[in-house]
Amino acid sequence: MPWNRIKVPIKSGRFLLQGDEAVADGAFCAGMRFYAGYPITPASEIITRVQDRFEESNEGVYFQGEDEIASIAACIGASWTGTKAMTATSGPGFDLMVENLGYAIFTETPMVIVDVQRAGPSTGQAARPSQGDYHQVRYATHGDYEIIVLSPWSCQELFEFGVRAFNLSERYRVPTIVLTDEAIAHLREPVEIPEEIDVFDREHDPEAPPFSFDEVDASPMPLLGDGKALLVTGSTHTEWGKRVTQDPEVHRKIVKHLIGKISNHISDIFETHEEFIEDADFVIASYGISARSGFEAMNRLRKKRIKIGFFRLKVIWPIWEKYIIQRFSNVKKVFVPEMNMGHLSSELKRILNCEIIPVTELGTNVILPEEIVKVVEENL
Amino acid sequence: MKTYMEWIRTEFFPTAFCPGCGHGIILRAIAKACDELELDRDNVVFVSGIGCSGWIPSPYIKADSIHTTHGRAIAFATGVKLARPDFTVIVVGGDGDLASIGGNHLIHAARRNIDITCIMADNNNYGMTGGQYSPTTPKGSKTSTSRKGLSEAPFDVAKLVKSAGASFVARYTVAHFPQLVNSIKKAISTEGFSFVQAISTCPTHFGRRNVTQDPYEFIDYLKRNSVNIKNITSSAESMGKIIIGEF
Amino acid sequence: MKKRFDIEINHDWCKACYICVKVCPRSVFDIAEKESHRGFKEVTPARIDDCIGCLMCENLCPDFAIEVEEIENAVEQN
Ligand SMILES: Cc1ncc(C[n+]2csc(CCOP(=O)(O)OP(=O)(O)O)c2C)c(N)n1
Ligand code: SF4
Ligand code: SF4
Ligand SMILES: [Mg+2]
Repeated sequence: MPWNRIKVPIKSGRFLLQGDEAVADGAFCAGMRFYAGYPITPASEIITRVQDRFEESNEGVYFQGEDEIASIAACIGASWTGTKAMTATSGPGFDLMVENLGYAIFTETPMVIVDVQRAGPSTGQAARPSQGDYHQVRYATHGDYEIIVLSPWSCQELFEFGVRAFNLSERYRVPTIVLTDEAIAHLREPVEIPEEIDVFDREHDPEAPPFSFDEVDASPMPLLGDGKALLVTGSTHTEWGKRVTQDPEVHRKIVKHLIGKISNHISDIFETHEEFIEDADFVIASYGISARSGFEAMNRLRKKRIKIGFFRLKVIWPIWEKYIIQRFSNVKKVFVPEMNMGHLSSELKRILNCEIIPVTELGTNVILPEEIVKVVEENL
Repeated sequence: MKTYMEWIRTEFFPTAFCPGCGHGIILRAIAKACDELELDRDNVVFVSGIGCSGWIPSPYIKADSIHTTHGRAIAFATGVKLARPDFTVIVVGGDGDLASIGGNHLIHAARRNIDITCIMADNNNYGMTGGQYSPTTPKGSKTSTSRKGLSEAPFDVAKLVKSAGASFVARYTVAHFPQLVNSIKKAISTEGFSFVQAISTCPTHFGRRNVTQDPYEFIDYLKRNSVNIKNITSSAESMGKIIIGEF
Repeated sequence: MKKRFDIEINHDWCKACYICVKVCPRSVFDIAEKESHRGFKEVTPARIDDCIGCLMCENLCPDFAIEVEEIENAVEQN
């Protein structure tokens, strides 16, 4: 069975960890044994932690690429040998990875990318947080596809999502992104490392074709070295990897597979953290660092007897529209704090009919609870 | 049937190459080298980029192959090799692929001296996209993007890779078939980064505009216009010639 | 006593580039006058007895369309 309950290969217990360290530990526990990356603030500490884990366990290969393009490429190469691979970066590095991210999507290569957001565009403010990559991680590369993006709000979740990102990636054969930001990545918090975790290892089938046209499920994966003369290509291909660069029908089928294998399992993938949604007239909806302030703001407002709820997306992509519509059916106004010009706001405006009120921060200051409280009170 | 044909995926034949394209000769040279070395086909991984050259191993070589993005084959291959050091990893790419867009990966792989063999099918231009100039196009050449003659100077890629730290570097043309096969065998057998610059012919573009559109005449031109590095006694002898041999 | 060779041409793979015709040091090949169903003037090893087995045609055929094979026991036959 691909699901296994395993003892974690590191010390379990409660530790004070930085966010970057926590995600590295989570990935290591999930079985990540190949890491390639290029130094960048605020993701560099991940490299240090990965090296520590590889050295003390005497397992795993660490590679510093000549750039981010090489780093993600090396991860894809390693993944086709059956090694769980990860890279981590921030905006400028993510920009460079985009073409090969598309390759990983099209070749259905499991791998994990941690994007520690900093302020952009361009070099921006390297050591200051932002949530400006919300849409970039979803729509970075050309063409139609689905991708999975997790958004942790604490060091604890960085550990957990390090594991979950690999599980989802292996299960759905899709590159999976952990989208965090400078504030959480550099935060130190107590993290509970459990004794055991559930780990999904991709279904390896040497006889299986490398690709699939199934509209519902991901397919098992053969590996390099299986002796089957695999054809892996980022050009449109048949199930067996034969390039078909002119037939529209084949392209249609393959894109339907890339989308269907994820959208049909959205209830397994999509995750939220909700408080008081049932009786709420108003909701604070957010994700990542801004959700922490949103949560506190909700508590303060409820003390004032305002019927406000809290809705946090732990998975920002794919976004489960039907579920959100149903959960927000009685909600009058939604307040959306985020450190950008209103990315989640625009998604919710598209999905919901009620009023969406963005609480944005275009500088690089984490939004404070009182700022959210103020906007809510002004708009009741 | 010759034994090296076991390395060829004939189900995709006839190939997609133009009539008389030198890339088909390089394909045979690679198959022959692998066959003569008696490599275990199940442990050989070919990695290629985008371009007519990218088609040489994928789909035409019957072994595991990853056909990657333009210029990035060496980077993908690095991941394969690091994760599975027991695999024989062979990169095949073009002059545009490996020396232009992928030039950074090439010199860094040579610097690391990672145990990968890299074969550059060098037809002095971008064949697939219509014959634009590449980093190996000789100065003065007419290409679709240097219509009055190229004003830029080319790279000597073999020397570049050698000085970056590669273990083995050779250059032969498709007109020197037995030597080409031999150098590929040596490259695969040498530990560390090995690089073979295989001068190819693109009769459709570079040949038509600069040498000849006739596939045989082009090959004959390569033969007549090459000089072995061992036989060069003065720089005048190598002026304007293709220097072949091991570097 | 002379070695003898068999030359097989795969007309489904041949693209009529005529490298073989021109590279052969013994002018073994002829080019057909009429086009085949694939639209090519096919190559035939018209003077096969002149073949010396140098493999120039086989090695330089970009399309794997020529195979030169030594006929075993040919020495005794002639
Ligand atoms: C990122 C990117 N840029 C441009 C292209 C278009 N492209 C395809 S092949 C090619 C050049 C190939 O030239 P070369 O590597 O010399 O191979 P050849 O076709 O000559 O064998 C280019 C520019 C691409 N596929 N990807
Ligand atoms: S365009 Fe040039 S390199 Fe490409 S197949 Fe034709 S002859 Fe060969
Ligand atoms: S060299 Fe090959 S492809 Fe060209 S004419 Fe001869 S048999 Fe045909
Ligand atoms: Mg080229």
